[in-house]
Amino acid sequence: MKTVNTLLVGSRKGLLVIEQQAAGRWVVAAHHFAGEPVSQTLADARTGTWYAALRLGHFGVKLHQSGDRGKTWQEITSPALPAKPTSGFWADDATPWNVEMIWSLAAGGADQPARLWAGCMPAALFRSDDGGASWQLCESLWLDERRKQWMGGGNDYPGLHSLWVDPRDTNRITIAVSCGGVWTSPDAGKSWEVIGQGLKAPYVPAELADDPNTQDPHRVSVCATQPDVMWLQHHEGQYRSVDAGRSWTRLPRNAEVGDFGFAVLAHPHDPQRAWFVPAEADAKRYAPDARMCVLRTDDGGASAHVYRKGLPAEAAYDLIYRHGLAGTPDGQTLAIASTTGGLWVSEDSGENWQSVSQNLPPVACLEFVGSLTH
Amino acid sequence: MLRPAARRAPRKLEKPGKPRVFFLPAYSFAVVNVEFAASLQRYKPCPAQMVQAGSLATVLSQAFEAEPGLQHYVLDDQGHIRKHVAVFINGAMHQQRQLMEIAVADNAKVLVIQCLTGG
Repeated sequence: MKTVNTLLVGSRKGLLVIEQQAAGRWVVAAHHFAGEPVSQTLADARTGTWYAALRLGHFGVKLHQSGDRGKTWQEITSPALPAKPTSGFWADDATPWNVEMIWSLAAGGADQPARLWAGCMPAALFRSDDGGASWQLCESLWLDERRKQWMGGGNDYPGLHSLWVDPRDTNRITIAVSCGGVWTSPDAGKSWEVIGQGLKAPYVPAELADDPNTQDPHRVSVCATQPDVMWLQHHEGQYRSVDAGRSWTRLPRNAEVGDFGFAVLAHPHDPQRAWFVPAEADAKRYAPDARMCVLRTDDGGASAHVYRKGLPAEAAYDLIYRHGLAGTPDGQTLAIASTTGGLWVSEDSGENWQSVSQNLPPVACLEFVGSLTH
Repeated sequence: MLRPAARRAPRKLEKPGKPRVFFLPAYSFAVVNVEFAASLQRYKPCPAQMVQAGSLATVLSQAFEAEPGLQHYVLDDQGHIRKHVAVFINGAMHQQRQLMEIAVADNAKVLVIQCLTGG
């Protein structure tokens, strides 16, 4: 039976491969790394290689690759931090120098077929130029003294959760850190600039509230074919940028469901459209009023519609976390998955949803194979 | 790293409690037995080994030579014992994960297991 779409689901108990076999028909086609936590995946469109990052509870971060769509997997080198200095500026770094989790993965440009990027927790960035056989720490970022001002956001330490390679200039890398703001490099990580004028963090001391280095972007998503347009779910509000993240405009707060959440997804082609999945701020962090919904804007964020059809309408304490929202390359089919194992899909751009399962393990990440943004 | 050749079968015990005698090659070095729990062997093949005595770091380092990928399962990026891995030396758990320079004496038995805390 022909597969229409393939969805990779990174969960607490392994990697699930879910296939859409027909309109409205989604099946669990495979289960890899059974019992192991998968923190991130990457289906590299350049080579067809799949990558799965594991976060083993006892034995740490591991990275695997498959050249046959998951039939077989080989462990490859995983990024690791160097020895922590015992003197000097970094000797008292409160952040441990151990990679706890791979939180973001990105492929280099089509002109860099062996290049991969990995963003981690703590918030280090690694680059590979040999398809993952080896990794180099981006020292210019890790040793930037401003990193000492970063804080953990929902985790003990800062984490690098969003990672974007500009297809127009594949040396241009943009990342986002909770809580460490949005950063961009023009030269493949040799130098960095913290950006994000307009982002605001009212929960920190007033003198830091506008500091780009203090911000807590929960997630950033980029319009793949118009990459100057970016969308950001912040700890305090939702934002849009039209200048590749240099400046941001806060979107109006939705009167019905608010503007808190973790996940955001840019339409890959339409710079006016994006989706957010609201959660009730700040302490509760589950669906507002325990009624799940998805927010979609079609006018660049000036307004947004709340979509609920097919989603649980009561007693729904699900949270769609940062990487729990994904879309297909045409922007028509979406998936959301929760930290409590619910998975829903929409085949009409988020207007109607159907449940695929309510019994999955907690889900960390989703990715449609062939997705233009990740 | 020196590993002994295949050992002869041990003598039968004449009386209960009498120590077994293992015949080593003519040369003799202080050796330590290093074993890894089945939970680790699930990921990497790592049979029990006899390695030279020394610091805990060098004892483990020798054991990792047989399976280099094993090191990152047992030690973190800083070369310390992972938080949810336990190392026992002669039945006593080594508590100070960052203290890798303690001496592991001749004939010691080192056992590396996963902790229940990481489950």
